[in-house]
Amino acid sequence: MSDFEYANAPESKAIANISPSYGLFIGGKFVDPKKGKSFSTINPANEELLSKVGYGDKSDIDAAVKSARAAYTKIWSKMPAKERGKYLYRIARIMQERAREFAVVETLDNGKPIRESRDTDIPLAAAHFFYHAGWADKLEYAGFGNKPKSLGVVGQIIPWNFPLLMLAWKIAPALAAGNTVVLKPAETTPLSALLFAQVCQQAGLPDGVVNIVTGDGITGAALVNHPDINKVAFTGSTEVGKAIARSISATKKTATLELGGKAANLVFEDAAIDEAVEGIVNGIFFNQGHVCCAGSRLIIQENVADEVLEKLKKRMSLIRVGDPMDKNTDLGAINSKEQLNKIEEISKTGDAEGANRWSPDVKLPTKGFWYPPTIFTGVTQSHRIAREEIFGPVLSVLTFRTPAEAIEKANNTMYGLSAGIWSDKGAKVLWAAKQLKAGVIWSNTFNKFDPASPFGGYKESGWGREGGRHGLAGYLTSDSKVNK
Amino acid sequence: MRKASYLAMLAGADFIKTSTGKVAPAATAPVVLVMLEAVRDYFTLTGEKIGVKPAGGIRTTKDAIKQLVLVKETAGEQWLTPDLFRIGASALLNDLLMQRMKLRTGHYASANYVTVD
Repeated sequence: MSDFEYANAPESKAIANISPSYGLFIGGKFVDPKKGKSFSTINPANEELLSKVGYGDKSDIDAAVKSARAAYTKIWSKMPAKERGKYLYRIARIMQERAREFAVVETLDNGKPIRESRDTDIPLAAAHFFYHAGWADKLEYAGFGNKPKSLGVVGQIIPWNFPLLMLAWKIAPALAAGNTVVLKPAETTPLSALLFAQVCQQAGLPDGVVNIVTGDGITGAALVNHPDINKVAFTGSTEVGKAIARSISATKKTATLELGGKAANLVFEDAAIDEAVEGIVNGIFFNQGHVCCAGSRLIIQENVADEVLEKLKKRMSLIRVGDPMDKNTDLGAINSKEQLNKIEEISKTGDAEGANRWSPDVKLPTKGFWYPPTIFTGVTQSHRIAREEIFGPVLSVLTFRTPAEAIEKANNTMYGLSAGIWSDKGAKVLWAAKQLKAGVIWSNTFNKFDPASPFGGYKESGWGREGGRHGLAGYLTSDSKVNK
Repeated sequence: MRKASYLAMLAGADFIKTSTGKVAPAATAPVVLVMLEAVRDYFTLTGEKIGVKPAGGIRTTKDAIKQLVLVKETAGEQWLTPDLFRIGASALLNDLLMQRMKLRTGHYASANYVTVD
């Protein structure tokens, strides 16, 4: 041990104040599931039990949709828009007040470093509520026609990678536009949504406007297939997204789907290399790579590839992997055993198909689910690790000679969610941005989010946009018949 | 910053320094980061270690610790020696003395217990 080792700086678990068990949040109250079933949620960093959570089935979903419908017809759709805005502002302020509690709950349940939940997830979630609170009474002036109307009851299903942030992306615009909500959090990360339910109570939000039913894929399918919801909003895998699209076909339901990605991060020869290296690390190792828009395909111009890779490896050796509750941790735990298996499985095909694996020398904890930061070099377009979403801290590195080749490789994917461009030349950046088929393109940065900026993808990355004015459009209609 | 650092190193400097320290702003974190990257890259290219001396704006012990972390993470631990890294900050010394006094006595003393030079 050297003289300059870092000391541990753990955040306190006690701040989270997690109950031993939770019911379903229906009609403004926590109620037991009708069949009385529950499931466990664990801390993926040490596999310790955090809480028992109610398992909602078809009958619970039905109760939740009924409660949302009643709240919609009797209260929320009749309330002046300005009043709706006030509730959203109140929720946003309470989230800020309880930010530390939210951050600890999120890190315990998800496994992400406390630094990220504290500095990214929770502040952005609150920002989404603030942003949409402002929209609530201005919808008529937002270019959606003369009198845009809400849709009704929205069924929302969110993933485990950014549990509270995805909840905010879904609930804030839905409520601002005047809809009521039934939300199903991911099976492995229900706790921050249940804490949010307490915030709804604290804010005095009318009963039934937000309903939260925890459960698994079967619960989600019951929500999607419920006859009395007007819209489905889903963030998750492309596979499930396709299943949802199939099951709502030939119904009046609309959908927004935020699905997978395999983002290209293009580094041109004239890029500021040190900055690009930081951006590459942020792009793929942020949130353990559990990011749909992660920069998982690094495409470097050949003449700078050696320099970039050498610096990248040095930088990766400095990544601190370990206890997510430590404020110095950069890379936390993989969210579940299932996800770890998936990462391992696809990464192994990288070895088998002839790519070269490299990881820094890191000591992984023995308990919990862990994967070291990893890069594969010598990857070709046909490798599985270049085509499929790994959703873990695994980066595939490819090279290019001409800008045209870079674009061709970048666009040769079934996804089109995000992309990054690293270059010192503005004209080159703008040219590349125009060619790339991706919903979000970052120039000389990566993984930057803002509630005002629409987010969403081309091709199999999904339908519709979330955030900004474009995101609101998904929760409004100018068709006066739709609510009947 | 990077170009100026390279010019100084190629001209034979043993140490590169942000400024005299008497102007503001001077030794901000981004500036020191670029200089540390420059000496790191220069070492990779030539095998020669050049020192870095941030001066101006590092006034508290906490600021100094942040600088040390920057050195450790960028240039590496071998730079954490007085031969290769120094902080030019007269105000910092007084804060360091105050912090040491606090460690010894358990409470902060008035600033007048340390001399201003």
